[in-house]
Amino acid sequence: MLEATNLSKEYNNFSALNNLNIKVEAGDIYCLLGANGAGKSTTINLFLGFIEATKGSVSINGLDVSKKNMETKKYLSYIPENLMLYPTLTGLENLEYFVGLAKKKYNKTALINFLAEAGLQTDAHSKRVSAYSKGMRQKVGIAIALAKDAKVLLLDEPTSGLDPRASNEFSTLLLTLKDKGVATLMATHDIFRAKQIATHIGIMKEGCLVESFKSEDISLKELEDLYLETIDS
Amino acid sequence: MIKLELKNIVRNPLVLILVLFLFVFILFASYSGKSRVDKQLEGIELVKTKENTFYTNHKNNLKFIENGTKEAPKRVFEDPTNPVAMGNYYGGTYLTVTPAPLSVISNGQSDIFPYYSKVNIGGTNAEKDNDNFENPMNIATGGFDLAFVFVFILPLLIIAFSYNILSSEREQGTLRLLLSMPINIKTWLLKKIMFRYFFLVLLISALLTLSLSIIGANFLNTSYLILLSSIVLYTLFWFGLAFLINLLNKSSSQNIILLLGTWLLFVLIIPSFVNILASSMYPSPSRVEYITSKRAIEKEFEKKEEAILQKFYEDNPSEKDKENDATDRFRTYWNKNFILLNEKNKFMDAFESKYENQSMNQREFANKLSWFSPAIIFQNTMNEIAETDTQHYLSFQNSTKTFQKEWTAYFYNKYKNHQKLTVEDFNNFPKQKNN
Repeated sequence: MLEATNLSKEYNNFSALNNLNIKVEAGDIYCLLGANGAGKSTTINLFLGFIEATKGSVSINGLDVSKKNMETKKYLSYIPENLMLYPTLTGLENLEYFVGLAKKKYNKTALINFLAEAGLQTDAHSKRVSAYSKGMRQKVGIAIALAKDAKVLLLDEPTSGLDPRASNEFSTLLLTLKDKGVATLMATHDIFRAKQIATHIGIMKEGCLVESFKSEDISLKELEDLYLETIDS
Repeated sequence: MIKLELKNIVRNPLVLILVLFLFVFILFASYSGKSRVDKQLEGIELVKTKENTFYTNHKNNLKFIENGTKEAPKRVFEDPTNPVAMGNYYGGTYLTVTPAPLSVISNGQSDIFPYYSKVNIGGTNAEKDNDNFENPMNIATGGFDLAFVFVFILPLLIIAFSYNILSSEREQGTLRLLLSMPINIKTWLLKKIMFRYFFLVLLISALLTLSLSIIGANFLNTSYLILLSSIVLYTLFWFGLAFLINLLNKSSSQNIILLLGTWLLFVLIIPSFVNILASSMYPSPSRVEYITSKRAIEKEFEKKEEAILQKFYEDNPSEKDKENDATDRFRTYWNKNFILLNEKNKFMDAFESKYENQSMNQREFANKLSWFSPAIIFQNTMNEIAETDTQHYLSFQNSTKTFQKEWTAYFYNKYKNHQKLTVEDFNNFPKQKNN
């Protein structure tokens, strides 16, 4: 569903990503852990087609991102660290706008249902987004993914800055999407959340994927120790 | 999507302020144009009333003279039967420039050229009769007309409306989400720009129609469609420019600097440069120099009068006999005067054509360069629609000269044949055609 093969990215002789190989199948949640500058966001940007790989390839749903970028974007949904929406529009209107850009058409009831499914309180649907918290905006992001019927979800530190309750709600939503067969690649610093929701975890350092394992094969404590050991080494 | 774009725009307080400003500007400029046109119409009515009163009084006197209840006045200047007295001195007709239906939109050259001219046997007196005092501030600023609003202010509103379409997405953080959608960002930007373009064009059309309705202007005509088409094209140019600047992917502040730079270039710098270049290539004399030279030429002509008459009589001996036949001082004077007036017209035409040719060359040169600035083209178009362009006033001046010859010929023929004017003749005085 989502695959990087021998993927490298260099900026002026600086290696931001070095020979990355990962594969995320439908229903998997792959969490990339690592310190700042480890290459997590670069990986996400390469999957989005925002930047071009120096070497290797990235594919979504079997399509090469560098060649079929527009096509691959039909299958993916993206939630950045700080999802921003149009402040003068309501949550419902923002959803309608972005879903419209994805060439999907729904009636108002269906859109409301997507927002409800994403956990946004009913009274917030028709409030302007300028009054939304970060958690509420993230929920609209999830609603966009639901409405887009995304097969792939790319998340770049989505829980950063969320309070524990909002973070927990967000994790629950990701698990719901997982059950629907969505392949999720999430860059995060949050070891606890990664362990809680991921099917696979990778630890990155200086552009390299230094550890990759199934989440069920490791305890939270072991993960924490491994992470610290890796980034300190 | 259109509905959401519209909501996104109308919920922006800045847009509402811009719309309000635009309406105030258009309405104020319309009123300003209307007051100028009203003043022009009042002036025309005043001179026409003066002319009608003069000829109606003399025609009424003539009726009494014709039926024998009254004798012709002793003073020749008051004699309604005398063709020269009625065609010259206090007599004469006023030729006027009737304001076009959409004259309110542009002052154009109306503050430089006279809109009426008195014509009699002696000549035309356009400068002398148009001696209204003008508010010096109006002269300095050029007046606040609709042309000013559309040529100068509208591009600024378009810039305010479109400078940050793409950059604001980056600055408010929505660009990444947008770029993750299956859209071509250039197509998306073009659609956004086109939507704002149509929004603004419709808004301007509505506000302009409303303002013109409020001031009671007659705008249900082809000129109005031409005006709207010109606005549509001029607005398209500025939105096109904004589209290209947005594509450069700079920050909002860089975009606004670039767009204001292009505004300065197209609206101020190029037009000024064109004027300077045209003036230096084809320098026209100052008004003072023109009048001084004209007076000098007239004095020179006066010195040559005797020689001119002598030459004329040598060439036309029969005319000399007529002078000898003259029975009174009035006819003696006018026999000579008609000859001199004819020669003087030729003399002065040669002098004036020198200045006119220079001005014409200057205008033609400036017109060629106007293609470098859509602001100049648009301003010229507005002047043409308003019929306040230089060409229109020059046509009026030329038609005045032609008409003056027609007027003189009418009275000269009567004079030459010793015919007295009749009431019927009063009805057949040459009249201004068109306008």
